[in-house]
Amino acid sequence: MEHRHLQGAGLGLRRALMGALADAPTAAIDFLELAPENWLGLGGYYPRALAALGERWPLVCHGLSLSLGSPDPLDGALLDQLKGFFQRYEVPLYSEHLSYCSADGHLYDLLPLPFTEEAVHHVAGRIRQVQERLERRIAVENISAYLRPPGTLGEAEFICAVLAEADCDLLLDVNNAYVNGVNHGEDPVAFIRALPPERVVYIHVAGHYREATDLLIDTHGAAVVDPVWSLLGVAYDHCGVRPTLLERDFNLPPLPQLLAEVETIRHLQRQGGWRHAACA
Amino acid sequence: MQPVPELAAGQFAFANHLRDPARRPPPEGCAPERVAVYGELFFNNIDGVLGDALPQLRGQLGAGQWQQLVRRFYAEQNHREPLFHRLPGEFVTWLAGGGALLPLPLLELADFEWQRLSLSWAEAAAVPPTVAGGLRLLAPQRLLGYRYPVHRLPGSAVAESSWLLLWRNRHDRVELMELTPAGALLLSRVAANPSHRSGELLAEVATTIGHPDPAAASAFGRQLLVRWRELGVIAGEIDGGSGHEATH
Repeated sequence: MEHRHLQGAGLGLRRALMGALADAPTAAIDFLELAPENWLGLGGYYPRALAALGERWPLVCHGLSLSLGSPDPLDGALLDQLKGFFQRYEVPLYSEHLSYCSADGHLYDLLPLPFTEEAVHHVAGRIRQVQERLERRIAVENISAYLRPPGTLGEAEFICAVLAEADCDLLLDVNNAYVNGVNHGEDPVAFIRALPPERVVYIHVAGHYREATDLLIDTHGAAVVDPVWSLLGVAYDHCGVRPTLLERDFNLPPLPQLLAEVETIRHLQRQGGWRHAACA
Repeated sequence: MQPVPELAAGQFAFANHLRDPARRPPPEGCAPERVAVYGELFFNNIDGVLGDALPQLRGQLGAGQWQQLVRRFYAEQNHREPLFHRLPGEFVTWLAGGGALLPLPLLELADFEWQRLSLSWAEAAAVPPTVAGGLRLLAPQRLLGYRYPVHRLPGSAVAESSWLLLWRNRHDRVELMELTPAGALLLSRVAANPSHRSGELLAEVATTIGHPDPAAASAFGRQLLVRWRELGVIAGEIDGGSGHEATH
């Protein structure tokens, strides 16, 4: 399976959802996404349950620990484990964050890269190495950031340069675009419209936590807010409809509430499809 | 425009500050209140991963001492483990290595909590091949010896040696059985000698422990083997007794 066959609206898989998903109607969701680092090296119940879910839905992988922008060496052992995992579960798409989460050891949190030429070359070179070792194209995600390290480029400019130099795809997280807009006084619509549409292969939406009027934290712990739904429409207008995932990692509500949000994605996808067809 | 630090230097500075904010300066050119946002997210994340895995240790230590330990663990260590669920194991290893000078009852409690949790998701080791007439371990399991009763009185400073068998049952739930020293010896002999018949193992254990009535000791040990086999802890043939026991 390749990602061009992936479509529709998906849901982030948390262990706490596994029981409810076993009983959910298959047609309510088009795919599931999981963090492979949360499943690697597990035995017993988990791989069996995951395989059962994989019989019903494509399993997309969204990595956490590869640390693409890190000054530390790439973790070859982790890459090999990931490669095996993707083969075992026939993973159609793998993405990682355009950031770093380690520097002289892991921090288990996503830190923002400075938007500089040096960082473009560094991270693009590592993305190329990853794609070679995995023997597949990967997508990188625009992250939420709470500060901008001193740099010389804008975020969209930085991302475009990385995509071109690394020859990789983009996972566009519209919640992160919104969060960054508030946190740094930037325009998320202009950000989205500056990205290369043909490289956007996959989209994330999520909720966030409003810590202050000028500080949003990307918690994935709340429902998606209306301005983010609007940005999803902007993204579809710009790129065309793309497979889109609802991320929800904390404060998990009952599954029907999440499925209602998945349904909102589908609704926007139908609207976006009509608009795109009308413009074509 | 602010000067742009060299990429790696800026990254190491930021990371080192997050690991040890008291002694490492914040990265240059970044708003201090926003650096603090990362500091809080970073610490809460680690605190949550470790605390969820070791709730009894955290409870015994209290919030203040627990958080100090977590801070020191991060300030002193550079973690190469990319999988979050293994991080508490690194913490427990660091504690056992004397990193925090915790008293033995708490070190053993931490180990017990980690063994129990990690057994729930551990990859099963390859089951040894069946040897005709022999016994072998079946379920994923851990045989643990402690000097304090971690399973009954967590944190108790009154020494009371215990042998604990943890195993993952057929429904993937971790179960616990307290063993006598002789029971623990018998299980370890099963693990080490897949070709020995049960009668040989029982006689060997009775001799090793110097039991005054070897026949009674063997009979008791045989009951234990039968029970372990019913529970799926071991598989294979058990000699003697009334009637034929089915083998798995």
